[in-house]
Amino acid sequence: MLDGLVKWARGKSPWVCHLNCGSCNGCDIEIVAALMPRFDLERFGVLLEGSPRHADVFLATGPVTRQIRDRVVRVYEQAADPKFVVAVGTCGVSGSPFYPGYNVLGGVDAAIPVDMYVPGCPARPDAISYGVLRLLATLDPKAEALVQEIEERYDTEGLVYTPEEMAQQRDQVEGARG
Amino acid sequence: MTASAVLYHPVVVFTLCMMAGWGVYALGRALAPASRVVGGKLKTYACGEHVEGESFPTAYHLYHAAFIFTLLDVVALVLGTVTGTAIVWMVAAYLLVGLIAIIILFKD
Repeated sequence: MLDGLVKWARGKSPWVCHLNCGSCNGCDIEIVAALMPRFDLERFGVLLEGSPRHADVFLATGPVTRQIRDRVVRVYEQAADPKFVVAVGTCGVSGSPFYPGYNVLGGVDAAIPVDMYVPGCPARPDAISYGVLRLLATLDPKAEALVQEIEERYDTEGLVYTPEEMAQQRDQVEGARG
Repeated sequence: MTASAVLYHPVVVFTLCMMAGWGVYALGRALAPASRVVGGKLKTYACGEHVEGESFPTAYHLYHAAFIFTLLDVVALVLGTVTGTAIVWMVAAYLLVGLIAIIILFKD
């Protein structure tokens, strides 16, 4: 019962920390838009925090370069467990289109483990909201019911990817390259 | 001695409050995941940068009046709340410690 209560509490108030790993700020603006009244992520109890010490979820944007990697890892380590990472934007998902660069290591998962991928250039605020909601669905049954309702009413294919789905996508791309 | 007299005794109230605080902390400790000290977790947060702690001397010279006021304010509070049955030597010892603190602070 206590575990259920804790899970419920964590699902009801996920505090996010915005982590810019080198983004052009396009996805950052969309993250801010997702938190504003029009898309209103805050109705799910989401609060934007300035310190990773207070955060449960990282919204990470931008490709990870050699310069930023240590800093991203340090910030991630300074957050308390349990913590989750949502990679927002195509740069955060894969580092594209900068990935072949000499200093670019890849997406956010080149430095820290990622729990949800939200592609887009920039990622739409509703896609970001859907990604956070899918993350919450693992904790909160009501969020899971809401996610199912959204998936029944709208076409959500390709909006967000879990790590397993992203691995399948990468395998398909690698296979297509031959 | 009645039960309420025992329950409302300052020492008992203090102990109960401490136990309540420890209980809340223990509950949080039980619910939270096990603490893992990895990498820079215990370092100062500075937007991911590695910063070393710096030490600097405290500068009281600009706040003499405020500091003396703080000390004497507490002393006055102690004197004002002393009951008629208080042990005189304990009050005198407290005042002496306050006086020594002021002398040390102004020694330089």
